[in-house]
Amino acid sequence: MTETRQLLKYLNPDAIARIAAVGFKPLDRVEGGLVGNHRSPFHGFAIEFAGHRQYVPGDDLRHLDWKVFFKSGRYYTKQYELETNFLAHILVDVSSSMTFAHRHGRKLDYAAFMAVALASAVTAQGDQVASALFADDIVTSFPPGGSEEVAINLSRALAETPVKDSTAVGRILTQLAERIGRRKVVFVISDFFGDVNATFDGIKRLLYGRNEVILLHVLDPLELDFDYPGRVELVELEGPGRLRLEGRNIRESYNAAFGKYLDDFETRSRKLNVDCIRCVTSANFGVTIAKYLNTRALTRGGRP
Amino acid sequence: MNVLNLGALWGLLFLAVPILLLFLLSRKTLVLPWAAYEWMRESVINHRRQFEITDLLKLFSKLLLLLALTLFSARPFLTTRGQGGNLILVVDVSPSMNARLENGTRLDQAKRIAADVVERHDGAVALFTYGAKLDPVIGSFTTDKGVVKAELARVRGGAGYDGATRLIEQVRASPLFRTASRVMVLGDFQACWYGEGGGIAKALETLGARFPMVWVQVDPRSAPDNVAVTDVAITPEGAFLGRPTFFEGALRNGLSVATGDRVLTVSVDGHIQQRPVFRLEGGESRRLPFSTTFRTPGWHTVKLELDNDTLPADNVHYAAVNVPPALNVVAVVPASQRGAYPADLYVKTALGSVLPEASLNYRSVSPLEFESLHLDSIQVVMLFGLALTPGSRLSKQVESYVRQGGGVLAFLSAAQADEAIAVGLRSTPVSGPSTLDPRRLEGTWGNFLLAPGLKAESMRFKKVATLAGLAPDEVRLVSTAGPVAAVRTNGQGRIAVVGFVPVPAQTSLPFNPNFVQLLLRMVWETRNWTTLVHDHGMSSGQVVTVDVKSDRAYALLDEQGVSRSLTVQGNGSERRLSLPLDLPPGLYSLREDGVERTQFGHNPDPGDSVLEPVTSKTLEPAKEKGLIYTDANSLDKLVSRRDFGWLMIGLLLAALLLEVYAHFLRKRR
Repeated sequence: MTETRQLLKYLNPDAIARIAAVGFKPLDRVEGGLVGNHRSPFHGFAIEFAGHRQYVPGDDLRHLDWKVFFKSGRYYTKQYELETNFLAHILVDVSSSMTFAHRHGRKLDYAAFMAVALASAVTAQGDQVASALFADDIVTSFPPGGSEEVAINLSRALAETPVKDSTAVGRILTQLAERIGRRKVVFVISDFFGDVNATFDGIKRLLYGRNEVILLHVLDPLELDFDYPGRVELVELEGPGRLRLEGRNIRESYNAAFGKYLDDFETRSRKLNVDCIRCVTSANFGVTIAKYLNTRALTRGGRP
Repeated sequence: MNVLNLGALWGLLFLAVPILLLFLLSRKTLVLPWAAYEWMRESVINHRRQFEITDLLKLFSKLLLLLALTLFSARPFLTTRGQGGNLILVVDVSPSMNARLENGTRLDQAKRIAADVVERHDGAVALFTYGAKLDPVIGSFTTDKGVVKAELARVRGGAGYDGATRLIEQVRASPLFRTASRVMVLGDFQACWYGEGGGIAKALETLGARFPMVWVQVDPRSAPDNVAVTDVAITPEGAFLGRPTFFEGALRNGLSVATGDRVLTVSVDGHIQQRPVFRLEGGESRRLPFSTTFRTPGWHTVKLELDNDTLPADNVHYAAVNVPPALNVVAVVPASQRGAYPADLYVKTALGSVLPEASLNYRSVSPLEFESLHLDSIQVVMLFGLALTPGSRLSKQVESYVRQGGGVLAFLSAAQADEAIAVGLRSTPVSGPSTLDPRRLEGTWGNFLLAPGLKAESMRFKKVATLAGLAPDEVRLVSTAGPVAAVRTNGQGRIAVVGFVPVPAQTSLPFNPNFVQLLLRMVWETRNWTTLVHDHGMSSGQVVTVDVKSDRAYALLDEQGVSRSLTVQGNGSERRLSLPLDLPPGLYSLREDGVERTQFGHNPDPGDSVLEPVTSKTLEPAKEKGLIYTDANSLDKLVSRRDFGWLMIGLLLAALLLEVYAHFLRKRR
């Protein structure tokens, strides 16, 4: 019973249903291994006619357009749009910084709920999900799969995997870009507290492979607004640092500095045409993702 | 600064406040594992300087607050240079210090202020009282404040006051003065005593260059109300047995506004005679007449008493009246003037009309009879138209009589020159009518004619002899022709010389209704009877005016029979009796070897009845010599110990300002 509860720890049916109801459609063509509902960059033989090309020896004679042959006496082969499924890579940051919690639970738990919900929703619409937990390196990874087992495995891994001290999002994304090939969908769930330049270098590397990258920026409300007036001793989660300070003294300067970081991060994301969703742990994650997907569908046509 | 007191120890408890705050705050520190550490560290580094300034400001603010709290609890004080050290504290105990205030008398107020000064003074204190003289209460400097306060509580009011300059002189003479760093006098400093700033300035000069002398006014009201009985007087015709004797009680309103109905109770020999009701305008003085008839010779007492007011001490005035026995008069009339209308006819008739038969023994003799007459029982000898030729038997007899204390009233013949040569006077006959000079009535027997309705011109002379060789104070009547009456003392007696004989041939006086009064005045002064005996308060060394013999014992007996011995001071003719300085007002009998010599009424000083304080402007010359005239409200500047009240408020304000500035600084970031 306990094990089952551990397995299903991050499965939230309500959120999954909410996300699945909206669905996720990649913005660009994707390269999938199976036939699916999404446009592929490749042409094939399917229902939707795409055009003609001159017959070359070796072509399947079943696709010769005899009507054209009879009219023109030349051999042309009919071509059709290829529809395929897509592979979504869900990367979850399990570094120490994700364990921060103040009043609304750990960011890591919030990220886990989102990852599992996304995985469930994507697999539910017939697409495949590969997932990985990372910190300064890939900690755990799961191969692509299209069954419910993907979400369950991810949930279990998130529940069991110990957190790591530091983060290297940029390096992980670069590694992933080299490994996953082209035209995939990559969800990165992290607080992105690391080298921002390296992070965006990784993102650029992914984009170079025409992958669609979606950043889910998980933040605690206290990180956005340091609204703690009393004395506080801050212990660095990914280092040995300690700071003793008066909350009311530092609030405004910290908020300004952190706000500047967020603005910079989101501006750079926009410039790369990468969706960056600010996920605040005080909000319902299902609602947050569903709202994003709805907006995305309405404004950019990303509807399945 | 001296903070080593009980309050300071309590104040030290406040030092625990920051420790407790630190402890409490450290307990409340939240330890928070923090993810966005990079930005937090960046903020701290970037604003470290401002944080330090803000923290410093807040720290200062808290320190100031704590300091203010400590000061509030400890009440420390500053000792101003030159204001600590030995303080001579003088409390005025004069009768005016009995004036009532809202919470007790002026003396009570002075004692309260003195106790406060003692408490706040950082040094030794000596305590004196000053009434009729400077009296040591604590005659050496002591730092035991408890002793000083205890002695202060025992200070009582005294009698008399000796003035500001005498006070300064006595302070200067005190052996403590050499080691004193300041003299502080607490009193009421009435304008009547302290009005002469120049004299006080000179006295202050004796203390040394700008020696700090502080006068603390305990009752700074500008016009405290007080009605006083300042005097009682007997009219110049004197007191005769069986005849109404007329008195005047002098009243003074020290208030600047009118009084309501006030009652003066006049008692003679302890029996209430009259209770006149009066009202006085602001600052008005008035004499209220009253009369009584004495039936027995000897001493009688008169007491005038007002209902209560601000200063009860001056509401009573005592006097003793010595009524002479029956008047024995010998009239010496020459044979030439002893006809049907003898020269003394009108005098005898006048005396007989005002004095009862039992009070007057009148005998008319010839010069020859007079020369052989035994004069021991004779009180007044009257000479009518007789020449006092030097060396004559008559002159010798008169001179001998006067020297032994007798009284002679010589009516010179207006037609005869140089008749008064025997007493060193010269007379010059003046023919033609003249009258009493209305311009020269003041100080003479005729001054009663200054009263409304009476005229000096009604006293006319047909012939008169004017007198020459007179001292101004000897003149008693002045006609338009010149002085016509004089009194000269010779030995123990007096001789009055009059330049006319009161007969119709020479003057209209015998038919003037005021002649009787004039005649009584002549007799009274000639006899030199001391009828009304009283004083107007004591100054240092006030003398009882009696002949003092060195081999006799003198004592004072009061109404309750309590005796006080008096010592004879001085030698020879300078021998005198001084009244004790602490003698309370009342009626006293002076005994010489147990035998009564005189009685007298002893009274508060009328000067102490004017409660008006001296103005600061009047004392300007004295201030230039180092005098500080102030009141209790300004005492903080003068006592050596200064509280930190304002500093405390300043600290609180500074703390508030720092806190506000720190707040704005934080906001600006």
